[in-house]
Amino acid sequence: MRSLGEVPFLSKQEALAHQHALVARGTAPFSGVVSSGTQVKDGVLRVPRTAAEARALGEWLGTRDAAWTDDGLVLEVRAVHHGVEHLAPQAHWLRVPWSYSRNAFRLVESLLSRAQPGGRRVTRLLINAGALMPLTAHFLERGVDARRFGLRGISTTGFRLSPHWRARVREAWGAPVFDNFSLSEIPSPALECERCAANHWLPPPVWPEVVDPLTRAPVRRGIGVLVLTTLWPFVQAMPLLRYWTGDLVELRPRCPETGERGIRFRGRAGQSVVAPDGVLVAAQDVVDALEAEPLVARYQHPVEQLGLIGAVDCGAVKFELSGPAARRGAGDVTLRVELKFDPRAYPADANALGHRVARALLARSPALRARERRRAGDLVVELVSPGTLRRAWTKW
Amino acid sequence: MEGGASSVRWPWTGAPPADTEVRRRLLRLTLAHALEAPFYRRAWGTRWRKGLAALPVLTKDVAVAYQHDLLVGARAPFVGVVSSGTQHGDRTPLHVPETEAERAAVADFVAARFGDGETSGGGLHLEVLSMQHGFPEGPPPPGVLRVPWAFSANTFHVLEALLFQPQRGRRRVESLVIGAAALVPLTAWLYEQGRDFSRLRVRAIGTTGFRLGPHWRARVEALWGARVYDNFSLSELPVAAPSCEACGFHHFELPAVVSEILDPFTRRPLSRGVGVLVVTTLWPFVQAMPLVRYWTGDLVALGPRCPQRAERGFRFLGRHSQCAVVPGPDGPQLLASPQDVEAFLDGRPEVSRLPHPAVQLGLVKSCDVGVPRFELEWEGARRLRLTVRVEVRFDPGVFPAQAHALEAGLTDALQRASPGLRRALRQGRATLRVALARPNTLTRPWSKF
Repeated sequence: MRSLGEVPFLSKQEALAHQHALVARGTAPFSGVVSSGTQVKDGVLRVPRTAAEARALGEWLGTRDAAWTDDGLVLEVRAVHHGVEHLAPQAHWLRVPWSYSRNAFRLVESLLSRAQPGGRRVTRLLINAGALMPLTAHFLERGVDARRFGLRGISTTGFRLSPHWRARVREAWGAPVFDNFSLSEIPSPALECERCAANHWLPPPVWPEVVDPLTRAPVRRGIGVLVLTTLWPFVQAMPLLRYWTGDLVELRPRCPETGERGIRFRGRAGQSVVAPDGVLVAAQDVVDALEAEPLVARYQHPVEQLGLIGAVDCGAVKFELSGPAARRGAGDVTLRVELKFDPRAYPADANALGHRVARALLARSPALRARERRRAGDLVVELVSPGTLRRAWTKW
Repeated sequence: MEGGASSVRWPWTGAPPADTEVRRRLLRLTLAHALEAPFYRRAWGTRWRKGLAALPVLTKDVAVAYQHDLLVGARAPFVGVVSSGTQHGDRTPLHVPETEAERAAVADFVAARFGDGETSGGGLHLEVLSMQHGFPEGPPPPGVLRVPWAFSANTFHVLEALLFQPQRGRRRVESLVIGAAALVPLTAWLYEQGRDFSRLRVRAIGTTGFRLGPHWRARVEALWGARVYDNFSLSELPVAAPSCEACGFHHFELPAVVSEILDPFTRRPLSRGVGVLVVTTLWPFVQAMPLVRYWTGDLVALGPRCPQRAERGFRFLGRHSQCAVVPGPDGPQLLASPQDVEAFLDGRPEVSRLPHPAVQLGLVKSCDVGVPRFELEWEGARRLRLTVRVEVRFDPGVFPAQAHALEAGLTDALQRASPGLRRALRQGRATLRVALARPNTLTRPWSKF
């Protein structure tokens, strides 16, 4: 094997099935963190992190830490269902867990609202999107003006914030929002670039590739599946080579600042409609279109279910997307969307909503537009009554 | 007096002496160290020279209000863990920092006393950590697996894989430490998935957080084929206090804490009976935020001298604010505690339960993994009127015989659990009423998960 391109892809199912055989010899049995990025139906991939990796990362971060010139602190609110971190945070870094409890809300509020010992305040927030939305809703419903926290920036991890939520968060907190792309299996995130708005991998580097979801050939432009290779010494215990993330990303133009081509997350491949003529509908585009609509039904967010907040719109929008078999040519794409009202009782409102969603999806998909022009298939938006859809498509 | 990662100068040479002696020597250093915190300097004056008993107690409210002044030195703001021990009501949490130097001191002491390293080829120990109190920082010791407890399907799958499958080197998990509020839904989830418990190799389970009721304890022991040990722990403290096989009471596992039992009414130290647990965390195990005479708010019974540990242990009875306790000629008298009520109700399927979050989120189906739904109240000074309201899963008006049997059973159980209550009832100093309520009528939760 002469190059990475000759190495076979590692699917999540394979990684899961052979996870013990993926661990390097001499690694203590899951010493340290048990991370679980891959939640495929039949099990969980446990990615061990070791002290040696933490040391390598720490040494590298040390150089960054020295360059930290901000006089404020970073508060990291970390979702714990993917595991806990091995490396102690840097000197300007506070780290608190995000758990589904009242305490999590109180803890974050108390750390944001007061100066810490030494007089420094939190000026930047790093939080997963699944926590940021209910936290924002919690402050709004309690009349807490989050702008008074004086944050200079909010960075998200986990799934992407829709433009609607992003705008709402920016307005409520009075701070710019940076949408980061991350996977728990991979030690570093891809940060949103202020200059080109795409995501660039934060060193310690991983080796990214973008490949066609059907032919698996490298993609030079447009949308493809992200494939990642983790690099030694930041990953030693369980190297992942040509790891098929299952995430669709759009390859963006070269960034004038970094000189690199960034990526933009467009949804899970398995939840999108992919055809030989391209990605017809990317799941994230559907989410982006539907989250702006207040009358689209949502799955309850766990903190809503537990009664920790009164809000009802922090959960995932309810939809099901289906299309022709991936390798077949023609056929319709059907998007079923659950509403908070009966579409038969209010047909005009339902139709208007359906048209808005269809327009938004067509605007995002050249492949879908071309297909409609060729009369090779239509986008059908079907609106259904409350309680119809039950297949949850996201996790928190 | 700053202890570095390997620079602790212990006040002895060679192996550590007995725990009592370790505590005595460290206490003197602890008080001197604590004086570096602005709060203690202001509050103590010169009283610290007279010893621990001369110092004021530190209540949780005071600790929360002055938490920055409880920090020693110009420390970076909560580098490391942010723990939140005090989380009742809506008040601000207490952020208890943990530092690298503290972890190093614990490791150093453990190595000096027990030797370091793990025995090769032995079983693995699995720690399931509730994240509500903060993160553990740094890697776990060799042979220890550590996973966070989160309300997600993923958590259950990870635990299932770790418990049922051999890990690398064919090693299996043989002991487990887990919050009682996680152990019960995990057990239910495993039997709901049809998992065969006989394939487990776990032989000892230590619980943290609230105490497991006797029914669920027996259920867990029978299903898992493992012995359950009840650990007393507070997130503010660096070590837990497991229950002792020799005396049945709790001892702190390292001499990192000095404990006292105080009369809740007079705040005088008690040498027997029931009182509030007050703890002092010892340098160098705790350096960043020393807690001196910290009023835990937990009511405990003082045990006899343990033949194995040569010290007196304690047993947790409940939160002081939730217990009916009155002053008596021989010290405080506990008449009833929620723990006693729960101990009886835990074994009764006719009692409603608070929904556990894992059930609310649809992760676990069993409706019996939450805590029993009841309220314990009391009023009056000279003649205490105790009332226990219990929500049941049927209408007591429609099934009066069953309702009466349950009322009588609970009344009898509470009297058996508390000699103080028996005496007070006999002498007419107290009354006890057990009242059953229909489904969905009691709404005040008393426990968190």
